[in-house]
Amino acid sequence: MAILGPSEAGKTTLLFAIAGLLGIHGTGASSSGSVAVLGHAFTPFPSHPEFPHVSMLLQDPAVQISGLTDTVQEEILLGLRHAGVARENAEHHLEESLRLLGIPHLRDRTLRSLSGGEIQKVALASAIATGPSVLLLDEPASALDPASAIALASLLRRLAHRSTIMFTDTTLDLAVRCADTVCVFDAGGVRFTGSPADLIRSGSLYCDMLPTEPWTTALRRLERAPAGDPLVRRLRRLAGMT
Amino acid sequence: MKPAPKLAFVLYCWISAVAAPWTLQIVLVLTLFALPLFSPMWRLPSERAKHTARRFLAFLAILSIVLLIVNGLMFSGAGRTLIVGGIALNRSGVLFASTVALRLILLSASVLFFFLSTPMRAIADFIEDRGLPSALAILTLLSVHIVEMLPDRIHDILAAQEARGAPVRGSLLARFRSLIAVLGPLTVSSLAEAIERGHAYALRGLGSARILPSYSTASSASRWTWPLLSLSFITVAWRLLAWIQR
Repeated sequence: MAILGPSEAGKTTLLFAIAGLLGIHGTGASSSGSVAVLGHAFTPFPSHPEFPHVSMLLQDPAVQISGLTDTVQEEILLGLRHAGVARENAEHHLEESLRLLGIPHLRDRTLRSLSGGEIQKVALASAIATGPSVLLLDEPASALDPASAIALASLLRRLAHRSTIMFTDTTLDLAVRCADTVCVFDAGGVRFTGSPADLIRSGSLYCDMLPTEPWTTALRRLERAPAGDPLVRRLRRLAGMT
Repeated sequence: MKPAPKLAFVLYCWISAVAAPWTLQIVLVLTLFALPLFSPMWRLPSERAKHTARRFLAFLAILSIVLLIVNGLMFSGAGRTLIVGGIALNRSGVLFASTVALRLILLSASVLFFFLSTPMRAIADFIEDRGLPSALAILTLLSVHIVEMLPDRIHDILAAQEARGAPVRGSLLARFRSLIAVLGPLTVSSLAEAIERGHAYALRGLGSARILPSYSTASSASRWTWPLLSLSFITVAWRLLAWIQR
């Protein structure tokens, strides 16, 4: 599920509420309501992270790197250890998460030597290594180039077989590529819920508010183009819209 | 890596800085400077740590010399005069400054060498293994991290200000002014990062009390821990007795 909306719409606050981060470490947002996570209802909110069942990737992945370890391997093992995974099983989880992210070659690299993109992958590998039921990602594509964003979308689709994934974004692009459902947030409230195609088809004001890259813009134009045109039909088929 | 005996030694340094005679303080200072060279437990692990240690020791040396000169020149008590490099210094002032400098070195260098030579992982393990509140582990890790990052952060803020045309180089006054201007952004950015890192630590299960002992890299104690703690106790007791008998 993609949580979309402009800045200050409340997207990150929603993820924090689900992750159990509201009200701890001085966040202290004034709020009301309740949250249900994995069948447990919390009123008003979970007061601590439901680790390791809920994992979250913060907006700045560099902050997520603990600074307690030297190598990528040790960093991923840290979360597994805290999750109570036995050492002999931890090795399997480590290899699996590295393989999913396509970074087995980084296993013995020091964290200081990694680039920004690699750090994001390591942070994500750490988040998924414990096999969370819910994976929350706060604007995961905000610092990625278009090619990396496409790779991320493909990765999220693969991970969706293992976990429920919710991510926030200020654009439609990642949602169009990998989300089943989009939820448009504005001024702290839900303004639209449905599939990305529904959002595009609706011609909603919120659809226009979300900046898009050429691919998404083309999809939107194709959606609105006359269906009788053979070229439009062919392009729609190529884009997987029919 | 064993933080327990190292912490015991730091405690002994701190107690000795306050309670022990200056002759013992000199021995401790020499021991402290020899430890990173000869003890694997105290060895500085990276070039960055060595660089930080060198800079801090240079700062301590300058501070000690300034203390000696100022006290030697300003001390008004009666006493013999020492001529050092053509400058007449009051002997009592120099002795007083030496005592203060020894204490400063013991207090600060022991803590510095402890944090530079102990990985944060070992500190966190040590706190968690003792069942202390997870908030303490998080606070300690955040403090150590922010102190470690301070020089880089100050450099970044100064570079940003210089790029905007602020006079960060030049006279001593200009440098001092630019340092004051750094304080605001430094405090705000440190607080913001501390909150975010706190979240990240919580999300990684720090303090989740599910840690398996087989992963632990820190041993609980060593043969040095209890003798050092006993020495601290003896030093305090000896000082108290001396005070009572006075």
